[in-house]
Amino acid sequence: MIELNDVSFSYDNKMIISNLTLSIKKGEKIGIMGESGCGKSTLLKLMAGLYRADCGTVMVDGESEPEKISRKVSVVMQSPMLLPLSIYDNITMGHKYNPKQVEKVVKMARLSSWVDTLPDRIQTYIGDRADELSGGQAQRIAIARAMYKDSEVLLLDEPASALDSENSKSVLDAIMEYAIDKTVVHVTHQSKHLDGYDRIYVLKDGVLK
Amino acid sequence: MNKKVIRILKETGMMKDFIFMMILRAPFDFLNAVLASNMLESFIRLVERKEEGELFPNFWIFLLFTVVLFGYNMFVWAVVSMKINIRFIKKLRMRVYKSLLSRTQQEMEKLSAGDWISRLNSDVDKTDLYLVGPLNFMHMVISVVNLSMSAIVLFILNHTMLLVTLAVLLPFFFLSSVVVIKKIPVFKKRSREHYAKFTNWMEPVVNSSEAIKIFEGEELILKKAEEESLLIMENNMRAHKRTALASGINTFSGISGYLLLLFLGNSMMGSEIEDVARMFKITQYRGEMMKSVMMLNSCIGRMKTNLPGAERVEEVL
Amino acid sequence: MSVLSKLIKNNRICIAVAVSIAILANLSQMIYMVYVGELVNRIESREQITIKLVIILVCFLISNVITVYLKHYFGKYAAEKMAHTLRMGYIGSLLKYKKNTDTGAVMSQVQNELSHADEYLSNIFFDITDLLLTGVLVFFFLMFQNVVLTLVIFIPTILILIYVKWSSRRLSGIVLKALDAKEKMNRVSYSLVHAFPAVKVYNGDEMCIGTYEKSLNSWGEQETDMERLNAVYNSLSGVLSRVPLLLLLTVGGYMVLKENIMLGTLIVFLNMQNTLKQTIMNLPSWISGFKVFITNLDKIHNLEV
Repeated sequence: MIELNDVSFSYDNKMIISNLTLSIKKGEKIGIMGESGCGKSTLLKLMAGLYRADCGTVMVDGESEPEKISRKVSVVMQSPMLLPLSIYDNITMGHKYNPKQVEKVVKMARLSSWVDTLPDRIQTYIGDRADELSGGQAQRIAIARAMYKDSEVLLLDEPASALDSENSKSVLDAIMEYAIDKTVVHVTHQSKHLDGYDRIYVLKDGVLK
Repeated sequence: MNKKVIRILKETGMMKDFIFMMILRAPFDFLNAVLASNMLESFIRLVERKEEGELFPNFWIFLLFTVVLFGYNMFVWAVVSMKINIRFIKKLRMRVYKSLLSRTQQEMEKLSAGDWISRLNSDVDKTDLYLVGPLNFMHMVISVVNLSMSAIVLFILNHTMLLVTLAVLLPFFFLSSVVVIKKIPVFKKRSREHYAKFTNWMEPVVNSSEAIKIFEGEELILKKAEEESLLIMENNMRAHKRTALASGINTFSGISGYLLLLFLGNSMMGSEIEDVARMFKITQYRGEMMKSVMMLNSCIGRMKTNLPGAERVEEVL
Repeated sequence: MSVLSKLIKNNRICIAVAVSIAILANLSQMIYMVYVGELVNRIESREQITIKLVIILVCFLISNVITVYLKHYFGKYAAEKMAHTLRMGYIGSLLKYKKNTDTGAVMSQVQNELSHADEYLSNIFFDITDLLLTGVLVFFFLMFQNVVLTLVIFIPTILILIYVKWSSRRLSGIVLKALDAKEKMNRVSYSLVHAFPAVKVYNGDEMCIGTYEKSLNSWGEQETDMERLNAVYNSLSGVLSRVPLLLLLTVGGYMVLKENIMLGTLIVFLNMQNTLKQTIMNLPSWISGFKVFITNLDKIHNLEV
């Protein structure tokens, strides 16, 4: 499902990833740990097609062109990266309207009880309510967005790092419940978030160990 | 006009509209100058010839001309200029926005988020200011038209007076261009750079307020921010000092030119200049030339201030 | 206005010095004008221009140059001090009221409201203060020269001011709407930079373009309303500001013919009226600019509390 073959990547003349090779099968759950600044997020961005490798190949779901890779994956990052639009728009990102699917992901992301209290429910404009939105609510919208895209590959970059422990557990549980049959790569510096993962790597000096 | 700005106009497909708008707006100041100088001459001549009964009819005639002229101005502004300008900003913003969207994450990370936001918002505003903002390109064209046309009229009225006017005007223009224009944009640029550095202190204040509180970092942050703020002030003051100097030069040139014309006019009275009314008409055109040169000077300065913004926008496109 | 009052209070000494020098510069200009009037009278009556008059005029030429320089220098210095106070006050308030403030909102405020208020103080504030001061001083000077001619200028001028006040009141609401629309438009563009990876991964390009287009159109509508009113008000103001000059020439002409005044006095009035005319012509835009400045200061103030 994900193949990284002899991948190197440098940023501002500094080598971040060095001749990295990794193979992830369909449905596998992979955790990648490492200290801050070790290149975990860079590696994830390579897998998400947001960066182009300096050398080597990155293949995700049969695609090797970064732009095409981006179409094949879902990503949840540390920041929810919401747009000043309605909750609905932030989940669907303007793609074809599928009310049942939206309803389903809202439930799965554990947003239903909060959304039901809003005046315009799913159509509530969050640009005006940004201050009222908690970190957990914002991140759940980001998760619902990932669920709505329903890619085979789910990439997680410390999705719960900005949340308190209660919210963090709830958010991660929601993700794992959804991603039971998905290929998951989760980068984090907290090992407790990787319970039950198939393989856990540590990234150090641009190399996976 | 700067090549990069021309390219922006071409990219947005607004070149023809912009030229059309310029043609409509360019003659306004000169027409207003013609109206004002003829009005002054006409009234003073009526006084000199003691034609008391003609004063009120003259009042209505010139009021009518004024209404027609400003009516034209209103039409051009509200119907043509405004629409073209808004269309230009909308097109430019959309082009810059789409250009950003077409980039990869890696390309985006070559510049800071703040830099991109500036390009999307304030730099687009600066491009617009460069073109049609007060005392920028549009006013530069208006002032050039007014300056050259007033010089032609002055030449027709009295050659000597034109020569005297130019003798005072040209050194003044050279002096203020050397003293004022060259350095002001440099100081303004430095000031903006320090403003950006000052702005950088806001993010940690908001994002790390708890850490700042725990480690009692308020004083350090305030000290660092104050250093930047004082540098903004220092650079702005350097620019203001030069503007003050230019004002002094303007005053010198304005008063000395006016007095010289009055002294010369006095010596030419009855021979080369037929009466006091004509002399004041001449001073009026001299004033217009002076005003246009000052305007031109300010325009060049402000255009230089706004140009870096326009250049950054062109870079994005 | 509370933020502006605080800024003035904190820099009162600098402002007092700047205002004093501005008064001095205006007085020098006015006395010079009186001597210009005398010169014109001599030209009209074909009398000889004395050396004494030439020397006095040259002295006032030098005095005007020096005072104008000092006026600009100290005026801008006071304005820069106010801008510095504003900047430090803003960051100080952010540190003082450590509430859960949205980074985007603060950065947008720094890029827009604070930056505009800062620019306004640095470049325009002193010019407006000088303009008002000159207006008051010119009024008293002209009253001293000739009451009737002064009223001929000032009564229409007051009517113009009433008109300007009325028009600026009508403008202020529209200005506010246009500013809000611009802020929304800027926020949409800010969000693209902020959420760029999400837009790429979730292929949200079309949606982003649609949203931006909507915000652009909404801004365009508000801007059209504002500019249309600006065009009407400014053009009308231009016509009205010509009326005092026309009245001055007509009434002044009568007075010269009736030998109530000399031509030189009329020329002094014409020159001074010219200063006022420029002022009045630009008043609507200066007022709308001042309104934007105050609105920006108010928005900054809202964050403090």
